[in-house]
Amino acid sequence: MPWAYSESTDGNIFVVLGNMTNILSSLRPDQSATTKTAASNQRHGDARGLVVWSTDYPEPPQAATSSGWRWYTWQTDHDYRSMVDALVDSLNKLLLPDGQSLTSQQAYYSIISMSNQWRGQATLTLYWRV
Amino acid sequence: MPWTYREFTDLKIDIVLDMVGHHLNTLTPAEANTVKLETSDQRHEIGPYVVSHSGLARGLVVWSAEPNPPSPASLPGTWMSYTWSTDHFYDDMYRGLVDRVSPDGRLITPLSAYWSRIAMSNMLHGAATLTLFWRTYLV
Repeated sequence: MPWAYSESTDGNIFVVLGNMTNILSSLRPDQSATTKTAASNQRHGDARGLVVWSTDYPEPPQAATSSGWRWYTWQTDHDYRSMVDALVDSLNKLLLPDGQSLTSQQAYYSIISMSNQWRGQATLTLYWRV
Repeated sequence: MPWTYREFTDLKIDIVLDMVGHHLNTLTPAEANTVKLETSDQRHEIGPYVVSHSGLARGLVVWSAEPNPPSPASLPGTWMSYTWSTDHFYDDMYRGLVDRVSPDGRLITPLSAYWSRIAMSNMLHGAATLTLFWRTYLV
């Protein structure tokens, strides 16, 4: 199974964070080791929590030894699903929308962050080692 | 080396995201292996205009130089979580994360801390949250 995700939304961030914990708890140990998490909130919009994981790594790849990082950011006003789909698609295809490629090791050890703002754009950023 | 953090702030999230990335590039490979990071935004726009009382976008990078422990990918365990929250005192929230081995009395081992995840949120005119997700291993 490729990289997958579960998004939790609610008007209350604490409900979202609790849901994220429940999602994490539903994963196998090898899946848990692959997880990436991020959350965001809006004053009058939904709070959002994102858990990304894979089942393709029964054994984790060797840790990276480089010190360089690159990053790519997706943005959306309202279409959160497309934004997250694009992230997971890149992890699965090992290819960023701007043509940068990833190795499976880089995808495994990459980290995500997410932001949102009231009546404004949300961001979802992937940072990976090079 | 204990866990430490650095926060980056700006009115624009894009600038914060770049500052986070540039800071990651200053870390050693051993430190980079330990990194946890998250971002949040409080910008308030009406049309093309930014409302004057908008809040800042924030980026948080947490790292250590602990040796890379074996991956717990094959270990059974249970996910736990703890959330710090603040209206204004962000540094207190961040220090709570890096200082507390057991925020509410629950023991977090070095292995669990190393492989833990974080999530941060903020909202305009409201509380910010910083959550640590960690696994306790049944070994």
